[in-house]
Amino acid sequence: MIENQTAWITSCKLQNSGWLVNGTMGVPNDPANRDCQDVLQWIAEGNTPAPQYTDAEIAANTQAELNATSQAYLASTDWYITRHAETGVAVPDDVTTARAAARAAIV
Amino acid sequence: MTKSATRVAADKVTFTQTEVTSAITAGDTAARAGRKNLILNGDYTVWQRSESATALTTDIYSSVDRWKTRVNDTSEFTVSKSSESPSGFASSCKWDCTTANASPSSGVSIIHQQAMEGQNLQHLQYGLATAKSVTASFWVRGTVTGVYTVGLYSPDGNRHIESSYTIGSANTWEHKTITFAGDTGGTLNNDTGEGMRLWFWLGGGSGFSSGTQATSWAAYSQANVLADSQVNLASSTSNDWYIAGVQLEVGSGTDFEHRSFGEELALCQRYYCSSYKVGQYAGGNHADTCIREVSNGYNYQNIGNFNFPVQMRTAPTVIIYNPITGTVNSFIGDSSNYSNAVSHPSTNTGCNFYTNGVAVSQTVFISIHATFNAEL
Repeated sequence: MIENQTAWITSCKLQNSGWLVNGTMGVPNDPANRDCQDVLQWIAEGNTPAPQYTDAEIAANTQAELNATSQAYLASTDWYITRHAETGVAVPDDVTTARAAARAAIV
Repeated sequence: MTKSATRVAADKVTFTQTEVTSAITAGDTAARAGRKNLILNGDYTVWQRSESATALTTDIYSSVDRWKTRVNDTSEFTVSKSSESPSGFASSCKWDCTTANASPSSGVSIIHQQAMEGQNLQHLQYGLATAKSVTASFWVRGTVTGVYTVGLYSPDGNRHIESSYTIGSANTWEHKTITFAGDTGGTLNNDTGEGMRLWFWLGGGSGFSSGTQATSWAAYSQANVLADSQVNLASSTSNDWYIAGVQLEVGSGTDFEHRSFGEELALCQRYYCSSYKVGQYAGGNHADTCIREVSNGYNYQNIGNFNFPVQMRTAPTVIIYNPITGTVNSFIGDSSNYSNAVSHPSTNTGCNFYTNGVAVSQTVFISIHATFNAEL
């Protein structure tokens, strides 16, 4: 009995090792999964999944990672600032420079 | 021998073969009780997705667990949970025609079916001379009297067998018992794929009835599925069809095997589960049961993890919902809504979620809901 296998797929893009189908369904690349079987059939029919990320998403992901790294660095060096405020001990120049760069990197 | 006659003195610990055989063959069906029903949710008590799905026009699992609705027609149906049920059952499954098609084209098929996992059917011994017969029993009620079709289809060997049954009285529960021979020429792979399906045909085009109905196991032929006189449930919007108490078991038919709700739910969750509790449905405002994680405040991108209540049949298809708005692919960070939630490649034991390009930069609770579908 042939079932309707691919007509329900209106859009498909890569998502990690699987696909995001119709903008809502995260389908794993597991041939035992019924939806995966349909996606593989859809590809076999000559269709090509869209890339996982658009250029804008790549830029956003890159910036998000930079934001996270920068904020983590600032947090880990806050104690220099606290020590300076409480005891007058100077913040090392390299730390001051790096913190300025971190602040500038955050969007 | 009566059931009470099988009782023995408390000090008797040894039985003869004759005594055991006598007890088993005495008509006490309890001797064959246990996990005998190959059908899951045969009493239609588990409805994790929804208790009513409308305008069904395609192949879809949309409401009742484990039962697939297949409407390849211009007609439309609502499938819902009904309290209209035969004695001994709390609920049934109702098919209600909402858009009619009295003249179906040859390829039309309207089916209520359940697929069974191949590894659960190995005891049927298909392909061997010792292949076991199975009996389907069910309660059915309809507004349209006449001939309907129930059958088995085995995709591994692409084989089928069908039988007609008749609804003799409109709007009256009738109990049907139909035995299908074992398939000595069949194949049942020992895997997690579909080994066999039990399907109830509620209508079909001439392409499914132009031959002779296959009342013995045979290579699948579309022309040999239905009897010529098969009812078309889509003929009028006045048409309803109810089914309850479906059982498929080895050998002859016995009383329905009632399982507890919790047990039935767990069996169904191998094929579909969600982060919602029973009675809550995907897309609703249900923040009380969501998957919740605490952001560390540094543009945190991990949303959370979810371990499935039982090991699923396969890595499932995942759909993510905002716990309050119900928006797909959305999540909540404290009181704010964020987009672009993504499921990490899941296994059949659990799933991870993260954000795609959107990060939470505050120390807040972040939460989502999700559904997981590993149906056959």
